[in-house]
Amino acid sequence: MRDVTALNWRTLRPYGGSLLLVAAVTPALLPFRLHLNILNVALIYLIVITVVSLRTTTGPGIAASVLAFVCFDFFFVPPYYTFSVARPDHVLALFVFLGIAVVVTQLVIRLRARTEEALRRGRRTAVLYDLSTALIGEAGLDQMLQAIVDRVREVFALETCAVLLQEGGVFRQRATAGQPIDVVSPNLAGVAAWALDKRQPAGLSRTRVRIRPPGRPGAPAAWNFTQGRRDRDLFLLPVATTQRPLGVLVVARRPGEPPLDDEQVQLLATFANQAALAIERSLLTEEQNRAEILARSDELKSALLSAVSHDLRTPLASIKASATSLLQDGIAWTDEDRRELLTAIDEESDRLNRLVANLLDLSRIEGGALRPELGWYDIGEAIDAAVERTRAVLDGYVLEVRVADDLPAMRFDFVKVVQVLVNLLENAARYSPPGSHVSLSARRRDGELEVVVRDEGIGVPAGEEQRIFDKFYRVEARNRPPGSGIGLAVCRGFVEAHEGRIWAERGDRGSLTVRFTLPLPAVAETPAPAPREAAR
Amino acid sequence: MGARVLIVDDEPQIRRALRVGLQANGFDVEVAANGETALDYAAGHPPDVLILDLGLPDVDGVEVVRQIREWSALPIIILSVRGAERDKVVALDAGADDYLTKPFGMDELLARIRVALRRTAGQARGEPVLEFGDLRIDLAARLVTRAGHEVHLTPTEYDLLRELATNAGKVLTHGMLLTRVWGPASADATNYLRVYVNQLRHKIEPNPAHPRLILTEPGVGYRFRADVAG
Repeated sequence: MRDVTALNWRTLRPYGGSLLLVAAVTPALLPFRLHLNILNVALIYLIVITVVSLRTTTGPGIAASVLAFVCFDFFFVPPYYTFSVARPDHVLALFVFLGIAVVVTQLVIRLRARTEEALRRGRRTAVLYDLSTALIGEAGLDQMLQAIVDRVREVFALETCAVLLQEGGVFRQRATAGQPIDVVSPNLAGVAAWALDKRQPAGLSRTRVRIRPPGRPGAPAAWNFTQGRRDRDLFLLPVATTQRPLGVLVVARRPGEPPLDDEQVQLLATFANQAALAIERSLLTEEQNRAEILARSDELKSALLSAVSHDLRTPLASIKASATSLLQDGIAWTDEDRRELLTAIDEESDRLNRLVANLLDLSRIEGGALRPELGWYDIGEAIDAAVERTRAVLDGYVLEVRVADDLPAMRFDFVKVVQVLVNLLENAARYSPPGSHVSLSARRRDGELEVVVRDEGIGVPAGEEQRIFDKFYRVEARNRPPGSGIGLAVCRGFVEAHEGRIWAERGDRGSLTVRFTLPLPAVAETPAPAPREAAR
Repeated sequence: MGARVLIVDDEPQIRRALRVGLQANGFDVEVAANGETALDYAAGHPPDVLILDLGLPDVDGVEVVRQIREWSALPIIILSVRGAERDKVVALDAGADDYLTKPFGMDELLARIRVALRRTAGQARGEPVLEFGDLRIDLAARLVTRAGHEVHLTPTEYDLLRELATNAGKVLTHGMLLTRVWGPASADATNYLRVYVNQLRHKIEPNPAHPRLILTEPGVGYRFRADVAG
């Protein structure tokens, strides 16, 4: 009921204003009645009606014309204060006046409507242009949707504007300007689903949907929404492309604002379309990215598989060839030959074991399950153990080991640090020609332990020094030996688990220097004698 | 025997195992660690058999095969961890005689080496008559008999059989057989080949469902069995 009264009052108000203005002019003219020609009076009334027409619509305009006609006749056409007219030419003048008044009103109102239409069009173009510019600047979907709802709220002076996207059958609020809307409300979801399904706008009463903080109190009305009802508090527009439904654009007017007109609904629909395009574009981009990531991870997986199968099969081939040789019937092996074959089996089993250990370590590093088992050790011992384990690999290379004698006992995971050293030494041997120098040194530097492994091998391309520690990274080179790119990745994982750093430096003529640091214990912690810091 | 074998592999351990194993079986063994050395060696003292790894540090093994095939027909046996059909076909099409995937047993390698050596010996003699068990192929008369009875073959079947039998022991890829029997335009028509091999098996195999003469190398091609008791 309240709606009806409000509607009437709003409709009646312009009539009151127009009639009041005409009525006000009449007493102002009365004192000059004797000095004014009847024609002058008619012209003054026409001016007033023109002014009224400039600010009102057809109804009030015509009402004002009729009132002016009545006042003119009653007050200014003799005999005064009657509707009778003495002179016949005055009768003609009166009706000509009425005719002109109505025509002027119509013309002025039509002209004004056209001007306003042109202005509105201009504004609309400006708004859309503004929006498209803003959308071009935004990278992500959320930013684009936010730009859209911000603009919509601004342009229509709304309380709230939101985009709800349908994800897995549920509507989620992806972007909101103003008060958030209670999307959990089953009514809103139902209306949104209806609007999206039918691809038609829908209205919904505020009493059925809570806007936080709660809006006007009111008895819950029956759940009724009507197609396109704009006088409802919430107005929903479908956001959809021709292929797929995406969501809804929800707008809430400020309390007491007039309903949206055709013009505004059309503009809103344009905004909803823009939102649909933005969403579709970003969905396509996302899908494309996902496909690319999948393809890349597939590539990575097959690279890993071929590298691992190569690395695993190579030592297996030596083992199997040696073992099947020894198993052959009717061959009298010399002690030397038998020993050679058995040594090959022994060494290749170790190699296989190192590879499997590295693979396991890598999976632990990847899975975040790596816990160093710290104990007090001497780094020299670890270096000795690593050199011992790589004796076969480094056979034929000139190995120089230098360990500074001022190094204190330190806390580290012995097995893992040995593994790091073994991997670095193995790597140095693998990538450099037999007979070349491999050096390993350990010393104190800037309060840390620094271990340096240097080789004279094929090196690393400039700029890729850090990438060699990525898993499955392999140097692209003509002479590159086989390998899976696991060893150095394990080194990095282990060193970082000790809170140390590892990095590589290119030297001249293809030499490569890998350095890693391990934290030295604070002096107070050290069970050994205080280090001779002054010596450096 | 004393046949000369050149082993080309960049893995020192496999070189060592093969050298010891083959020497003990009476072969005269040379080793090379990369493709360049192998090519030099092969040119200087051509071996009787070349055992070649595909993953060499300097040149790809397939390239080594191509270069050697420019001037020599010496048997080449590929030893590789690459087990995919595509890799095998590429190496065989380049001219390799056989392909063994690592890891392999020494007996298997020795058998392949013997087949390769026997084949070159047979080719050198240029025998007009080939015998495999009770199957006899008279190349001069274009006559095929099984246990003394003539086997009637269409011209295409005969050409296919001749191609397989003269290369007994060697894997022939689909592409090679199609090119040689049907011509280069048919190199991709694997279905022709399948049909004719099937027909041929029905005419010469004692049990076509379990072929003993024309063996399928899955995804690669066919091999005519060389060591059928004769």
